[in-house]
Amino acid sequence: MRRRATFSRRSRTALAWAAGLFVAGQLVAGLVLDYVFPLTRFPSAGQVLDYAASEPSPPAVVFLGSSRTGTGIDVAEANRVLAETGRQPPPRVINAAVPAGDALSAEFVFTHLLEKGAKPAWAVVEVSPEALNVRSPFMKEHAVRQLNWEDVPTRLGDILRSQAGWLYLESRMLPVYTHRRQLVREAKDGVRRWLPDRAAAKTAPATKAPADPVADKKAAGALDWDAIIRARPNPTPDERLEMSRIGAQMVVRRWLRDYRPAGPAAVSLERLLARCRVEGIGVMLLAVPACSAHRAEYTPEVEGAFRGYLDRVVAEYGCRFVDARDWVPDEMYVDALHILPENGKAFTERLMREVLVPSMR
Amino acid sequence: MFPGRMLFTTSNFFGFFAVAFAVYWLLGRHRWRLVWLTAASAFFYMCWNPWFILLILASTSIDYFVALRLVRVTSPVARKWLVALSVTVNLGILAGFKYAAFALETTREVTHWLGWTLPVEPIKAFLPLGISFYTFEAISYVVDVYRGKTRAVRNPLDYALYILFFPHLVAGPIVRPNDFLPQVARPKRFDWPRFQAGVQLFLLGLFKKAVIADQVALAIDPVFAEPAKFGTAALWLAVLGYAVQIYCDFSGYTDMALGLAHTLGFKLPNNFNAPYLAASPADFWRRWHISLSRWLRDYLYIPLGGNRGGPVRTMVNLFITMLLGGLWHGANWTFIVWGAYHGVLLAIQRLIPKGWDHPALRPIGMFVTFLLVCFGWVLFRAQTLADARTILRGMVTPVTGAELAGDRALLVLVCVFVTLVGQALGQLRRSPRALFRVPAPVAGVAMAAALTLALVLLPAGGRVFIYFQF
Repeated sequence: MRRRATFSRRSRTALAWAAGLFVAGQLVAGLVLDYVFPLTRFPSAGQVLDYAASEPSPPAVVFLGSSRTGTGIDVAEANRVLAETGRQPPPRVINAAVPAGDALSAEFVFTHLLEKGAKPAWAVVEVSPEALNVRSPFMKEHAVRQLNWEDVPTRLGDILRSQAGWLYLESRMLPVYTHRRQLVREAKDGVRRWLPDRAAAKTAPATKAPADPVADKKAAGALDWDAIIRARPNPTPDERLEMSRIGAQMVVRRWLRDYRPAGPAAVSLERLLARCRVEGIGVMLLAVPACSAHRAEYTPEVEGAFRGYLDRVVAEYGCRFVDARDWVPDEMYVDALHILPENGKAFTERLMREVLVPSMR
Repeated sequence: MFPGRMLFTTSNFFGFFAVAFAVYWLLGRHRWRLVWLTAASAFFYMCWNPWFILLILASTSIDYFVALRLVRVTSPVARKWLVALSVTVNLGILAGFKYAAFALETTREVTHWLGWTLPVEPIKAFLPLGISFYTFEAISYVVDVYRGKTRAVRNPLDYALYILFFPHLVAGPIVRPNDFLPQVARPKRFDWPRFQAGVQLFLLGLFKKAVIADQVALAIDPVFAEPAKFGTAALWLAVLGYAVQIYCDFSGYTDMALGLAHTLGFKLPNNFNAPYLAASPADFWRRWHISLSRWLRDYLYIPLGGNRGGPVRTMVNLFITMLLGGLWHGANWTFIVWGAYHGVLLAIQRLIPKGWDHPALRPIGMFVTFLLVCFGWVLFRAQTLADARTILRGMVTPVTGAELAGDRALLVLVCVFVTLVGQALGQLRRSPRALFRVPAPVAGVAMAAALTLALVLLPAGGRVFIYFQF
């Protein structure tokens, strides 16, 4: 009986140690990720920043926003138009858009760009009614990628309102589980760098190396938007229109519920604009192209509130607003939200020639 | 209504188990606990496909009633007919789902080769999860009742729990009625050391699965997908890697199942005992998938005559047993040839004189057995017999081709080393009580580290266990 009690006590102690160490380990790992390796939590931002660091000089223009800016801005075309200005060295742009991005992620990326010395002359910041709604459509992504412990007092309400509570809890309590794919990827990259890989050239017959990977990467921009968007192969124009219509009704309508331009995205946007004013960086707020089904979801009330908010912001921070929502015909979209990356060239050329290059003069 | 498939490594399952475990121990009465556990097990199974629960209920109902009838019937002929009915129904269902498509396809190929065209369209195989395992459990129950080795259970709930108990339902171990049914009857008391043992076993299994098996699989899968493109070194590494992968995957699953059962107060039979330290093919089958080996011995090999009919008859019986054991794994020629290969190995072993099992020769026996088992794994893993031939030819005659990248090769070698050393260390443990002699903080650190590492390496969505396909 006494021996049984001893075993029982020892088991409880061992299990308590295991639970305590596990929880403590997760908390410490979470703090390390939050403050030492924040880009491990936000790998697409890391790729953008790596790209910026590989540029020979600070960019003339930085595009900040979501995948809609990512697919809409053709970096090669933008650089070509800027090269026509004849400036030496030719000014260059960086497409710093990230998937599921809004003003919160834009502020994060922009702050890190400035820290790395990539201070642009101009920042083009994507805005849209849905991304400025009080209930942020991307709060689940922010909970995983950006929000830290110190955001609990200020953001908890937004997180719960956006139904991101479970993900936020998981990313706080089990950070090594939440970010395991990126952690493993970075560990593998570390091992590969460390190992003399004599067999690398002979391996992986399925992978095809581009002729000049650096040049290809530079032409495409920081992220491979073709791979991110994963367009269906060869949809007919009718199929595309139908996908846009269904997408607008299913996604955009939900995002615009209880519309009020406020909340975390609006706070971040205004903080970003204030920073730009301090740094002397010109800002253009760009309402990116939206297909007609998408635009049809903007009721007069939504549109009025959105424009009213922007009028105030433009006046307060001395920036410019460009409404390009109807610049691209419907057949150029892959779904309700995105222009096909190959169709971004015409939009980019028009934006650069009609808006940005004149502004930069 | 159902949250999706319940792999032991997914958050779905963790949520399910947390509720099942908490309610189970909160219920005061033993009968209520059994009802709850049976209902939870049925829910667990229905999360994979709700309709297949009907199949289990139908087949096991027949076995339940046949067993009750066997108690009452005294005529030997009638008793034989009753057992034959139960076995035929069970094997009929298994054959219908598992082998009908394969048999039809083989018949079509043979008739096509003979120049005829069979006027039947091919059918698509659709395998209910765990059918191979619960069919064998049901057969062993009826046969044991017939033999008088076990008593027929009166309460259908007890029998339902024997079949449905979720830790062993989908991939074993194959539980015997004499091992499990007495545990069902015994009231349970929560016991901290047993709970700790269960947690440790579960974590050990999770570690084997996530940290070793799934990582090795990522490294070697490309080789088995296109073996003709790879050179001799890559083929050897892939085969060694697969030996480790299948062991860690299946024994990892078994450890998790045993651990879960322990936390609920049940003990399932162990399925592995350092199989890669076996010194002969027969020794290997005493250590690998032990519950299947014993089932095949008791319900197939011995009824066939075992070793009672002289050396030749013994070898034939061994061959037939292993051939059918291979077929049990799947409706594919690779499994049949794999079973036949092990049958031949066991038969050849009978021809070797006794002196060869001297302890001094044991390391040589272990090395040769490991190599022979690895050659067998080629047949087991290859997608076709032609692929198996390509791999085996590439292993024994040097061929040039792509190699595994340095990090992947290193990963495979490290995992092979860790697995073999782990098996050797496992043999040194003399007593299960040794677990509790480890200082509590050390045990705590080991558990926390294993869980953390496993969580980091868990694949997104969970990778299915290899034996789920059988």
